[in-house]
Amino acid sequence: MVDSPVQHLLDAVRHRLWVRQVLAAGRRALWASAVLGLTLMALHLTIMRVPIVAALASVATLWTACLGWSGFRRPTDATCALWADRHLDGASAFTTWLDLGKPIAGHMHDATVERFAVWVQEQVPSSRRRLNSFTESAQLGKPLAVMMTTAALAGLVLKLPGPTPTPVRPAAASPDATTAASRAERPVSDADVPSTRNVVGDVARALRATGPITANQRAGAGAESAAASGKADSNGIGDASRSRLGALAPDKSTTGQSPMADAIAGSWPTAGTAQTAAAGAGREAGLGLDDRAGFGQSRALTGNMPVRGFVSKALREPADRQVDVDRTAVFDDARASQTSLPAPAGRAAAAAGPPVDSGSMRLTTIETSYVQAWIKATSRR
Amino acid sequence: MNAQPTNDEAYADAHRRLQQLTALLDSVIVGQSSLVMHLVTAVFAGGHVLIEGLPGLGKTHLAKALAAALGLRWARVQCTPDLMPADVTGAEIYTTSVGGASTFEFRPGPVFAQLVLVDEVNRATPRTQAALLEAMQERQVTHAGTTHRLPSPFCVLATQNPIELEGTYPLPEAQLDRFMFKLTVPFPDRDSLRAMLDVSLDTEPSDSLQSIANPDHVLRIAALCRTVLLGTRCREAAVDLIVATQPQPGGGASGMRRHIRYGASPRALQALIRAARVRAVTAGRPHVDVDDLQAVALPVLRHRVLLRLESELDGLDADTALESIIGEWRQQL
Repeated sequence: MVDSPVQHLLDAVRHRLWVRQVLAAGRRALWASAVLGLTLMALHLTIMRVPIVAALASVATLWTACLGWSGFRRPTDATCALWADRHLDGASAFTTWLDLGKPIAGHMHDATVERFAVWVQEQVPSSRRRLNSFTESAQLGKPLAVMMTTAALAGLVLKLPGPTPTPVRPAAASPDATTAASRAERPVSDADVPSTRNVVGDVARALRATGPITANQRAGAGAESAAASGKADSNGIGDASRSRLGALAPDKSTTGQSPMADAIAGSWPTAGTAQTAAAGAGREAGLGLDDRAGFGQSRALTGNMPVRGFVSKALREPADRQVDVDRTAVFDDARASQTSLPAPAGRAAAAAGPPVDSGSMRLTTIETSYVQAWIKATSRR
Repeated sequence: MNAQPTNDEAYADAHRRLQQLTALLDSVIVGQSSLVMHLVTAVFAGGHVLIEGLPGLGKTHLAKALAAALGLRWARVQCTPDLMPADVTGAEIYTTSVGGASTFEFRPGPVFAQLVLVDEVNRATPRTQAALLEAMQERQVTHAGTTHRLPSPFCVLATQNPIELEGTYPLPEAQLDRFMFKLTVPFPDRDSLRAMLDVSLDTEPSDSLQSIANPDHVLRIAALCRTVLLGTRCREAAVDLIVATQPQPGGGASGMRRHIRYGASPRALQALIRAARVRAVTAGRPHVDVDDLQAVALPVLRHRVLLRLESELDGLDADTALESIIGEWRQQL
């Protein structure tokens, strides 16, 4: 029964199924190409540059795999017979026809087999007519349009330069680009303002040369501060602080010698200033020593929790660096005039900000404030 | 199997007679074409039928018409609770001959007809039911050590009333499995009722029905049906359908299978293929198609599949579950 109308019909069905199989593979390849193009574009824009040659090679490989796999796989007789039974009104005749050549045919009645062979051959013309009228669309329009659009887009995107890491570019050396604000923000190095450093060092040594505050002075200031705790005038200065400040008031003998000295001396409050209460302000806390507690002793409640000991910065500083508040107000106008401080450099130093801190030039807060005030004053000349 | 040689004329004759029988019965029993087709299929497949329907739908009328059309000797048994097995199978009667000799003579019961109509089989006692069902299965009756063969062809049409279940003895599942088909008789539609008046109002159509075949024709056609080719596709499809009605082990069933407690037996598979072969000959084909299997699937499986109690309490019946299973099975082919 190899050469029979049924076998010819099955061969025709095989060709039809093979074409449909290739068309389905083509549809899958078109969709997969579109997805691949989108993936390559995303890769090109985000991670790494994708050469066009590589993209074309991947698409070609995809098409070869899809079409090659489907093209070399021919539908079997069983597949063709089953399809014919389902779609060509075969009524299981073609699949039963294939069983005739199998061992199962041994259980079949010979007369019935002959009758069946006649019947199925009579069925072939109607099935072939139905096969010829069987139409189905290739459905390639949509995937083809999508693939063409993706290909055009990929052709544009892949020509773009890929994402490259931008190196850190050095700043352009242009005098116009350097503004005063940028220079003020830039840390001042010793090479920029050497004279400022020298001036700061001279001022620090001058402050320390006046000597530390005497113990009697501290005790007197402490008693007055204990008696006048909680009171402050309109300037926020309590009686105790005022008394200390009175002790710290600039020497009257120096007043009038220079307008700067008078200005600095006049900036200090005297003991005769009006007194107003500002209970609990605590503004005098930073103007005098805390004599209500001994050095190294904490007024905090002691508990069972081990607390890391804290040593104040003042104690860590050597004694000679402790500020002598009695002498902080002394301003040697003559010495200041002897100091050759070029105005531009001073102005530059003032504009540049405080000098770079180093171990030998570490100033306290009060020293720093004095230095800054002096620098400001010199810059006004 | 010992089948007579078949040829194109035999197939053509069988096809013609089946078509004529179906058309004849459709003219007598109006509005029950599906019932008629299944009944004809069961007769030529060598099986028995259990018919369930309300009273007055023409069940007895159908059996009489079928017997008249096929020229079969038919008998009717009205089951009651006091019906004895001997009333069905027969009994020995002590008789006295003319010469004065007295002997026991076996008087066959109504079961010795070729087409037996057993009305309201669920009203008979289990003992009587067992006697009847044994005769159906063995096609013989043994009485006092003597075996009496039942005639051929032999077909039992048992009926059941779905209402008035008080005082009845429902057939057990093992006994139900002996019936090839379980058919339900629907209420006819309006047009059928109108046509019925024209057919059977004043006369009994079965009384004047001319037979189109005789018992030999029935046997020959039945033998021809047993030679119908069964291809691998239909063979596997029938097996798949029976497997689809089985509950999944482990309780992890999905779909309708989770509602099934007991599935169809291997006897159902045999009944399915035998009935499909008759349908193939009725359609004029010498081979079975999956459409033939689908056409007889529900009558074959309806009484062989048991649902879980909780599913029945939820309102699910066997027909709904089987229609879903058969639909899924057909889509896979």
